[in-house]
Amino acid sequence: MIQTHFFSDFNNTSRLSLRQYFNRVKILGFFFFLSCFISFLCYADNSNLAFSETINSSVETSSPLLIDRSAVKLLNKMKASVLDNDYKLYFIVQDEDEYPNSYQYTYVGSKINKKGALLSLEGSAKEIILNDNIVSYFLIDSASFSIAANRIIEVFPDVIYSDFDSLIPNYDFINLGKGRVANRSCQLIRIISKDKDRYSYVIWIDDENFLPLRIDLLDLNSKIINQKKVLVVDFDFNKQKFEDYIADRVYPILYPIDKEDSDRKDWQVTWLPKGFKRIDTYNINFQESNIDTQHFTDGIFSFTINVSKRTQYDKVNLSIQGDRSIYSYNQGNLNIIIIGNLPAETIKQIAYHLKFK
Amino acid sequence: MLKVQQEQLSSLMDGEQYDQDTIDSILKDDELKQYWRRYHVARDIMQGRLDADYLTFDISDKVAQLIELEDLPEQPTVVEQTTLPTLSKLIWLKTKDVLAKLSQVGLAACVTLGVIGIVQYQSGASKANDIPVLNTVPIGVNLAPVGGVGNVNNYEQPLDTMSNQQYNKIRMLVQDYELQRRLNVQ
Repeated sequence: MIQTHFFSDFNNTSRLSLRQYFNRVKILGFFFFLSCFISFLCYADNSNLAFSETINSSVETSSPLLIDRSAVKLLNKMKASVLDNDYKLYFIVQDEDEYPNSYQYTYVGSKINKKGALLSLEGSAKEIILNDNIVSYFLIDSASFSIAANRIIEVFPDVIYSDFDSLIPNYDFINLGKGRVANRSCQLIRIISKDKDRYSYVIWIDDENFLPLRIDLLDLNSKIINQKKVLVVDFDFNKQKFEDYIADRVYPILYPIDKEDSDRKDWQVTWLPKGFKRIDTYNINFQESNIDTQHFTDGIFSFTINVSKRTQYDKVNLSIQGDRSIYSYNQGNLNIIIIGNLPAETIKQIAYHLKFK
Repeated sequence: MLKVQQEQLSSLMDGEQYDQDTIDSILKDDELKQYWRRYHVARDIMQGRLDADYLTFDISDKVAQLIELEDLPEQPTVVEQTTLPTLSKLIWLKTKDVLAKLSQVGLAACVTLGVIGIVQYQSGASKANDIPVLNTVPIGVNLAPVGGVGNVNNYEQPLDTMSNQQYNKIRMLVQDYELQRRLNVQ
């Protein structure tokens, strides 16, 4: 009974079935595309969410009016002063939610062979010495070593030594007015990326000798996450005694830097924050496996992307330590770890835009 | 009569009696066959030889009987369907069909949207909470144990969420990152 019913119905409509069939296909197709489009929109919206949030949450918006040539000039003066003057600084460094540490930094930059010495004033007497374009780390609780470098980045961050003119396309330099630190009058300059996808610096520059006397690193909410503050500036220290001290030290061996070329060609970066360039590609051996590493920098901030075969131990992990963000995640049979002094949102954006073959 | 037969049946089962007449009478009598079956089931259960699914009721023949007896309600006749439908009826049928398809697709789209919404909501919600924080000493201005031999961070155990292997790997990569930063100064 039921079967015959069904067949009779089918016979009835069979004359129209072709047109109807096409109609159905059209409608179905339309809705399929519509739902695809909607889901795509939702997806795109989701992926951009973190990013748009960071843009909205950054405190100051800059207009072209704020690009201040005088600020760039002042920063260039500061860089020259840091590199070419002789000075002795006592300063403290403080991370967010940490106790400050105190340091003494002596530097002779007026000669061709620039010499510098950073001494930790509390805890173990760790020392970092710059001499003859070699930086030696005298560590108390681990082995000492030397590397080839022309400055001690523990004293002033990379931003101090930047080529500020080349940063103009990607950064705003904003004059924030006057301040006072170490009993000296200072000019405050804020260095902030135009895309608001990086941390920003506020540098306090001495009005007379142009040394940076206070350097604040601010997160995207303009909260200070790291601060270096000079307490005493001394230009009249005994330079001869300092140079003798540097000359008499026994230096640890140069850390061997033998980089293996990377052999992986199965991934690439498709998005970088503006101004970032790849400066290095190499291979790291870790527990009999190869980690393919690429190193990027924009002159102020830097990060590495490390790609290796995924193991059972690799889990998704995001950690933020001071200004450093570490993001580990898995893609197929690969594990990717991105480390850099960038906000976690930016690190995630970079990760999201990695392309795998 | 029945009592006697049952007793005979029982003794036959126990192997105490072998009588051709008794067997014949049992074979003829459906009721006695049922008894034969029931006794066997009961014995097997008492001796624990029977699976549980043996005990399912055998209702197949009962159901068959009931189906035979049941008078079905009047079935719709085919006759009215064989007449040619009018044009308006055809259009109505077509629109009905289209509407049905529309509602199906619409429902599917709603479900899809709902799923996407839930996924979005959950991913948004988990963003803030599920971030395990690696618990190492920030290097920053610290004199980083780049030499590889250093055990500066060893007194701080990694959180449970991260295995030692992953922790070591990330620590090694952080050391490399810090070393590269120092080597790549212009």
